[in-house]
Amino acid sequence: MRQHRSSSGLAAQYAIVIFAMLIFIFPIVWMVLTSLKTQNDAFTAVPKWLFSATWDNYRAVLVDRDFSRFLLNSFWVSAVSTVIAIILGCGIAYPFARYNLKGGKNILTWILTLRIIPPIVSILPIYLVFSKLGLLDSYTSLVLMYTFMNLPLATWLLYGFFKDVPGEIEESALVDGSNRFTAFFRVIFPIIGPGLVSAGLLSFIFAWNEFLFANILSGPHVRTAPVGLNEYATPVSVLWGQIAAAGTMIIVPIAIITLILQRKMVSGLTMGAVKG
Amino acid sequence: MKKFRLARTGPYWVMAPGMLLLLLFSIYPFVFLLKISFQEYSPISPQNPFVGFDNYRTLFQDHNFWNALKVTAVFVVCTVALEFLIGLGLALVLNRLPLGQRIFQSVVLLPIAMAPTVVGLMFRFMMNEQYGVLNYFMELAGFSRQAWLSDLHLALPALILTDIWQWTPFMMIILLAGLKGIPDEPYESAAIDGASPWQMFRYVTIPQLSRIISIALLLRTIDAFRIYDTIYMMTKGGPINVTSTLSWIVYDKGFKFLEFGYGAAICVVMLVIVVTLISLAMKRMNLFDEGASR
Repeated sequence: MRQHRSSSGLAAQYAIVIFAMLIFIFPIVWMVLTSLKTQNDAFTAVPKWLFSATWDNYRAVLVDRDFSRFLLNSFWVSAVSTVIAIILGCGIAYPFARYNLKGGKNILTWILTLRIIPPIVSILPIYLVFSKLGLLDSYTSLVLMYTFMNLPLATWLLYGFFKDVPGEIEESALVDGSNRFTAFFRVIFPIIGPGLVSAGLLSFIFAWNEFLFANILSGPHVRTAPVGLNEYATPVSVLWGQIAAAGTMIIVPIAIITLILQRKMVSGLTMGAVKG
Repeated sequence: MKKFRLARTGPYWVMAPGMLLLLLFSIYPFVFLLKISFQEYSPISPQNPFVGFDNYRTLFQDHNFWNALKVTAVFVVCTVALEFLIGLGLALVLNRLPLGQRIFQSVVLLPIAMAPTVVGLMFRFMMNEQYGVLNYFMELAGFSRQAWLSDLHLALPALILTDIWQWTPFMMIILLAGLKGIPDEPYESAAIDGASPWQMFRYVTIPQLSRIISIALLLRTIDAFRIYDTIYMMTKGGPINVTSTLSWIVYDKGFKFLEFGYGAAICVVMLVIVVTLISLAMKRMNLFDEGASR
């Protein structure tokens, strides 16, 4: 099956794949192009492929419409929740990977099943609690929510990484007179460093892209970028050029992270169940 | 003696903050949700009387609920099935290419990583009746312009199309990782036995991939079931209610009409559905067993 490969068959295969890739890439390219067009160039029945590019949309969004603040809000909320999720995730994953704890397997499975719960189910009670605590429209509420959202993923990925570190390495450090904590930071930490980074970047992506919680829990003070984006699409007028500019700015950092992570994304997106 | 005790309790202290957060944000909301589903609950009313099973009784007579259940089922089945078939096809083709696999894989990661809100608005723009680029391509191909998102028959397919665009790459990449993990020996021995390409696919590839296929289907089903962001951006549940999924009607009831009690009852039913489906599936597959990984 694998050996028989005629050149015409190969050409057909490349044609299929390239056509599919064009479909997957076109909407993104189209959005970036739209973000660089003037209102007149963007609204045409026959699409304009050649036009003189303008940064007006970016200027309007960033300066006049406060989108830079929304991006900054998104960044802080995502970054802080990611760091907390990774620290707490290490705290859960490491003991389970190292010690033979009672019921460890059941607890890990329970953590995994948290991934199943649709977010809309959590939001009603959480909204009520946060409003009673006066936490609506605060960084705290979003950071807490995103930490909770990313903790199962972080725990499972980190559990996998800790399991891969042979116990002997740590034991030799213990014999050399370090205690568990110094052994962890001197010996284990450098080994799983790359794993920590990829788990962190994935958590960051999920928090950065999140909309449901942000839309309900955030108000004028801590509006995140995906929520701010939605504001440019009013029933009265939809400013597509500005939406495209804002959308492009939301996806650029994520595109960069994706290029860094490459196939590690696969293991992240499957809670570590499939290795890329 | 003291040192001994510290060593015994140490691991529990380390995991306590994380576990506490998980418990607090899962158990407490669930209990709260269950409670208010038996109440006529509104966040702005001072009194929220208990009404027994009234919310649930209303629910089962509410045609909006049954409609949402149907829309969600159609959406989940169509997206997951089509994404799987297209993703498997592309993975099989891609796996046989001698050059360029890495580049193609990087390209398809982009849709997966994009915020669904951005994807939703992007597709809404492309599907616009007058200046949407999709209609331009439709006309080039000899079809007429469509008002995709305001057409009763096209709005749900348009949402499904959007989801397929974003998540087929996910299927493709997972399945490709699975294909790479299949050893050569079974193919070689099948070739010696004179198996046809179809037989090899059916009796070697598919069984070897079964675990990966299960994981991919399971994860996509979980995510398709919760569809919300793209609906918010593209159709807001309309026209009428042809794209009102379960998540959407909870949002609608809860945050537009402030009927939290009723919304909570829908949530409880959603939980029952998803937990039943997934635990049945997981019991059969034993997916996340460490021994079976790879």
